[in-house]
Amino acid sequence: MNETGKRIEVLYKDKFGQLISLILQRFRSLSIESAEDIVQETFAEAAMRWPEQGIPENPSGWLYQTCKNKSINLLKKNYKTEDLLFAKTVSVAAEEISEHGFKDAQLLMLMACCNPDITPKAQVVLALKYVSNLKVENIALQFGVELEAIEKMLYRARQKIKSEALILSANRYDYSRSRLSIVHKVIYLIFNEGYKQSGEKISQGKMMCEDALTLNKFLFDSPLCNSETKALQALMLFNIARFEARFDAHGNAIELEYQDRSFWDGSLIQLAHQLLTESEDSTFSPYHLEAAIAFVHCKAQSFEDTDWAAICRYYEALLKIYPSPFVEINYAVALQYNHQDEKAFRILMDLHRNPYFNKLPILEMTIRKYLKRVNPENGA
Amino acid sequence: MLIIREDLGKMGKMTDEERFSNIPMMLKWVDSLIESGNYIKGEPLLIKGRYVSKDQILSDGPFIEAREGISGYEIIQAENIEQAAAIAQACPLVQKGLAVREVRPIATIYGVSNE
Repeated sequence: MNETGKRIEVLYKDKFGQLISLILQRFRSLSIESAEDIVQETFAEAAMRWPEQGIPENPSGWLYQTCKNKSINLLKKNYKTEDLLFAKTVSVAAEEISEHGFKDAQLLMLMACCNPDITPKAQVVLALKYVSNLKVENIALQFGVELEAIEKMLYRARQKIKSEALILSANRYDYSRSRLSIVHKVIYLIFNEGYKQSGEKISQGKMMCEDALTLNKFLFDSPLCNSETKALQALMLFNIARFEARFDAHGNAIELEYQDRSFWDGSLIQLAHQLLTESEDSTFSPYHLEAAIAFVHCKAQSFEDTDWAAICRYYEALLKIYPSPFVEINYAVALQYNHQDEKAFRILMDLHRNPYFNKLPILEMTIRKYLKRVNPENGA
Repeated sequence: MLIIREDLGKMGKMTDEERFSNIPMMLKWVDSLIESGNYIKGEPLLIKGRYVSKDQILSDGPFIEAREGISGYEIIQAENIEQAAAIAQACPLVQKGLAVREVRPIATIYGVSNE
């Protein structure tokens, strides 16, 4: 792909959700589907024009302006005059959207998607689709469910929104604090999606992780920030500090044991550590425990130094407040390093017998690794 | 990421030793809460309600252990087995003749619904 194509691809990943959010805020009678179509068409137009005419000086501004014009044309066609009057009152100067403005719009969209009228899981799915432009199959993998289940959920959520209109408030503080825990979950999953990429997708993955960190930082700096916000930020920072060290020069994954720990970013770990300390509260969330686990890894001078007993303790606590097969699988791995092979095996086998969870790819992989480790002759 | 890097500036210059001098103290509160058993909000969990909860959404996460813990396997996403084989073929260890990679499809997930 040429330079222009690459540039458009990066902008598409980065700005898709933000542009939808921006035009939905400006033109309230637009449906979410029309907004999506308009943004798609705009990128198609960029892909046609930019290679010939060159990339505009302010590409984001060009994209926004084109989306806005398309919205106005569509509304004219549909006689939605109220919106048009509103659009005219917005002066040209005020329409200079900064990078900060784009991000702000994205957070607003995220909060709007976390609409308590739809189920918590559907809120997360909707947000992953419209805030971060995640593919349906990738959303399905995050939950360990079938693709069709996510499609159905998206369909129902859109129907619901159509009938009641997704209200995008102009001010994110209008949204109740009660939406915060789902907002955190969405940010966590955006981060996870980016973090698990490898090979050619590493730089794209890093962008998603940074996106998640920036969204959460906006929350962090707002009056909405609570102890969970801080713990989530700490968790993401502990992990981003190790982002590059997880790959060799060819983008292949390097196991924790063989990572060069001098490539871990000490100052990010330090910042994460400070935030985790600040997040102290009378109770804790799964993010606190996951951050604590990541911290134990980060502070170990070498793999052999790792305090696996502490990690196991945190996993046990995590399973009590957040029982999850994904957590159990990871707990089982930690147990193996804590010389509790039997217990680890029992947990893995229990999950394997469970008709709901025995198809999780990560479970199959962990069991095969386990068997190979206890009996190297066994192969896989 | 820039705005996060800005925070680092505010923290001043510390050496590694200073940075982690308070580590033994660190997470004491987490440990103390775990010990006291007081960290669970509200009523104790019912065994029956395992994996089913109104507010909690079961999902994968950036857990370190299973993904980076034990060497030996890599999961790659590919359109089909031929593409997967081509990706494995490109592995530098394979190219240098230092490794052989087995490519196997992972069973599709079905029957899971925890909405």
